[in-house]
Amino acid sequence: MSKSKKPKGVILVSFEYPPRRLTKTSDVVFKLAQHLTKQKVKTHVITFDDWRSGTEVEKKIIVTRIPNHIPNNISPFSTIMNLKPAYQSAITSVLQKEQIDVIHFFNWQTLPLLIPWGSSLDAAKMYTASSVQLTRDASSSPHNDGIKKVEQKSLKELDFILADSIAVMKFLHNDYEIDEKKVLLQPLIDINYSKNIYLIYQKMVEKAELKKEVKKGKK
Amino acid sequence: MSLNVLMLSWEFPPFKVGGLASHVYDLSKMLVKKGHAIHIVTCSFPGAPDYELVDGVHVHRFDAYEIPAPEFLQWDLNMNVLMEKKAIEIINEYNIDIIHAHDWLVASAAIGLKHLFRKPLIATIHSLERGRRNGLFNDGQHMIDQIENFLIQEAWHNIVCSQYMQSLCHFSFIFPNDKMTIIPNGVRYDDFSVKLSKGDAVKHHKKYAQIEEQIVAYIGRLVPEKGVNILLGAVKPVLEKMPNTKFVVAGEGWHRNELQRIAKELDIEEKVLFTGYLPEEDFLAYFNVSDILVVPSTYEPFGIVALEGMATKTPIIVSDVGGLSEIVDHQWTGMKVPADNSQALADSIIELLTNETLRTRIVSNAIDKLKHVYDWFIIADHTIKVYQNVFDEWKDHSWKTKEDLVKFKIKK
Repeated sequence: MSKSKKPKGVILVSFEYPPRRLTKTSDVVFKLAQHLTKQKVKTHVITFDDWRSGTEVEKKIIVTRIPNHIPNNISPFSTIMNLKPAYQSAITSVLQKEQIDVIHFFNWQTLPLLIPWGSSLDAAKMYTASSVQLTRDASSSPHNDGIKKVEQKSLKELDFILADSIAVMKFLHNDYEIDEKKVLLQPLIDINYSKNIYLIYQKMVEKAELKKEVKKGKK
Repeated sequence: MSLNVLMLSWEFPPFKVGGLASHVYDLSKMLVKKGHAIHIVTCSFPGAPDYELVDGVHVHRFDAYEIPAPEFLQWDLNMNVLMEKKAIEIINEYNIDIIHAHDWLVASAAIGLKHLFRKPLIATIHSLERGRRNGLFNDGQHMIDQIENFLIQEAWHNIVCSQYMQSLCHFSFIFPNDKMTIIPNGVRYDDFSVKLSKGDAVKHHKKYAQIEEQIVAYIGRLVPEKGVNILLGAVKPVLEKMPNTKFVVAGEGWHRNELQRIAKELDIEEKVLFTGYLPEEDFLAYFNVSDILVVPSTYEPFGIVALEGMATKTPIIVSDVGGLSEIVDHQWTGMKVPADNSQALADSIIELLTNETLRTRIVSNAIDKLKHVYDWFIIADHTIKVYQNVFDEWKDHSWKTKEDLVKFKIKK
């Protein structure tokens, strides 16, 4: 790989990060961040924690835990929508200061900001889908249908989606109408997960550079 | 300097839920007259165009119901991401200088836009949940309260409609007064100064009362904080001294059944008329045939109905609360009575009905105050001053996007 293909900076946006563990995603994000720093990629994690907020550097990983401005909520769904501005503020603070090539989202709870911001973020946008609303609770209700619609609309804004399982991949194709070319099977439990993701990042950077060159050529 | 302003308001005429839509319409129209470009992003409704130019104001609408929700609060949060998406299109197309948000209902979109574009955000706080509900009693109310606080803190500067609202924001959220400017609401008093012909006056009077009866009027939502029960408590003491008086309650609300039950219990049903919503064409005539307008609220961040009464030359009696206290100078532009005090209200009604000199003086002074304080032309000037100050502060500040840092030659 040539040096130019290496991502300079990456933001991992998650709803859980050690010590907060809701699913296996928390440790996967941590391991990925560790792997990236070893590759000398500047790595930011923007995440949520129940009891603390602020930015600290942990093993070269810059971790920002967003503040919860609206602690009282009517449902978990409203909590998620109310966290959006805090994620947005943290992301722009990073984008303003340094070059970020990839923003990688984990947990559906981080997705709502993509609905308005999808086309405004210059970096490549990725998502690891470990579940979708239909695998969590397939029953139809305004609450569940609302979450599904949030997923649907935000997933359309992404450049690339990694599905944790074949089941999730099928839902993405059939029910969420996501272009097959945009989705790749990449289980979270794969021992090579971090390595594989890094390769994907490199390809995305390569693709973005090509795009830029084509643009320049056209000019 | 002419500014390009993006306003976020969930309602805009003809879609009206409360007074917010009219406020945004009147203010934006006047700002355009003064040479500024105003873009409003607002919810669509069946049959509404996605874009239209209304009196020079650019109105951009979006489908606010695309994301299902179990109830209103969740709907609002979902609506905000769709509003933000639409607003981004507008900001990218027009060179927007300032983002102006109206109330908590658009807070999430406004804050998102502020961070994405690093443009100054101004928020108008029309009222607060803790005031509207006289406290916070459930998760939904606490959530709204926290969103209001979040918006106030995130805004570069806030506009409030009265000293009362400034004080409420200050003490509720430990928020500095110098980040708030008081700009009152306004009224288009020329539109209200309609004098009915004698024949029309009789015709409209008959809709509400016998020809020999004087009319004491209320208009507004029928919810507890509007204090209509206090007016009902004043009916009997007034009738004892002035039996030819009719009390008319115009408007609707979930408290109506309870109010009608109180009227029955007090045995005053014959002397109190609940009209429900007034048809648009009866609105001005209703004020015109009323001898007194009563605004007996127990909570009122501003009290625009008092201005409407003043504009129609109807003498007003208001509770001495919130913004009403600031609109009315006692015995000069209206009468003030202690809130939640039916006897005091009754005494004031009797005094005003029996004292023609006082009524004439009040009406004349009220019109004078409207022209000097509550004219949209003046209100727009105050608003522009806030815009200019905020824009000038922002211009010299390093909190900008990379592009704006270059454009405004700011060294980090």
